[in-house]
Amino acid sequence: MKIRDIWIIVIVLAIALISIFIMHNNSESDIQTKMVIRAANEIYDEIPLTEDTNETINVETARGLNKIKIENGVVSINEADCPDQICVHNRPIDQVGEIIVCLPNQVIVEIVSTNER
Amino acid sequence: MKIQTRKLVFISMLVAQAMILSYVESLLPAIPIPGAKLGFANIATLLALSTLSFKESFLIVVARTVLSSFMFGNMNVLMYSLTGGILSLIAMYFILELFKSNVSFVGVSIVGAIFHNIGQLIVAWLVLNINIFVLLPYLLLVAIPTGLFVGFSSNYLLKYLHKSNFNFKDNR
Repeated sequence: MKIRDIWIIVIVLAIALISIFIMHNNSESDIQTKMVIRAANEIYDEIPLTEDTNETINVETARGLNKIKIENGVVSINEADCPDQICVHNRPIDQVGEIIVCLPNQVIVEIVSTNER
Repeated sequence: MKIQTRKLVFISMLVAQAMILSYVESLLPAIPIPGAKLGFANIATLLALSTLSFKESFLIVVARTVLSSFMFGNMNVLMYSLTGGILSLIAMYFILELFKSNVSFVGVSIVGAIFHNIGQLIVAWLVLNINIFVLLPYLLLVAIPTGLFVGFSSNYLLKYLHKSNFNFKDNR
C-alpha cells in the first residue's frame, strides 16, 4: 500500500458517494412514474406506477421467464429461470432511473418519469 | 533461448492461472449488482503487466477471456469480458507508467476493476440500448474492497516472483 493507492481509494469513494447522493436527490416524490419492461430490445409492457399499484407480470420470451412483482409501487423480480439469479437478488426499485437487468434473458425493468420535460 | 522458454512457460502459467481463478470465482455466490464481481483473474493481468511487456500482457488478457468464455461461458460473455479486459489492461498500464513506484497493485487493481466495469457497461449500453450507467456509482463502491483484495494478493505474489527471478522486463 503506497500513498497514491490511498489517493485512488479516496477519489473513487468520493466520486461514488457524490453521484449516488445526486441521483437520490434528483428523484422528487411528486413525479409521475411508470415501469417499462423491455425484452430483447423491444418494449414488452408499460405500467404506470402509483403507491397502490399491485400486480404480477410474467415476461415470457424465447430466452426464458421472469416474474415481475409490483407491491405498493415497488418493483422487484420474484422469480426467473436464468442461471445467475442476479435479477432476483437485486434490491426492489421505485425511483426514476433505477433498473433491474436480467442479462441471460435480456429482460430489463426500468422506472421512467412520465412527466413532460 | 533459455529465457524464451522460461518466458513461454510463465505466460502459459499466467493464462492457466487466470482461467482457473475465473472458474473458482464463478462457483462463489454472485454480488447482486449486474456487472459486479470479485475479479480474481485480474491477479494474473497485474503480474503480467509488471513482469512482461504490454504486448505480452495484452495477449494474456485476450487468451484468457477467449478461452474461459469458450469453456465456462458463451459468446455473450466473451463480448463483455473482452471489452472490459482490454479497457482495464490499458487503464492499468497507464496508471503504472504514470505513477511508477508511487503506486502499488492495490491502487492499480481498483482502477482496473473500474475500467473493467466501464467496458462492460459500454457493451451493455450498445447491446441493450438503455441508460445503464446509473449502475456505475454502485460498481465504484464494490471496486474498492475487491480491488483491495486482488491488490494485496498480487503484491504478495510479486514478492515471490521477484525472489525467483521471474522478471522479463530486465532480461530483454
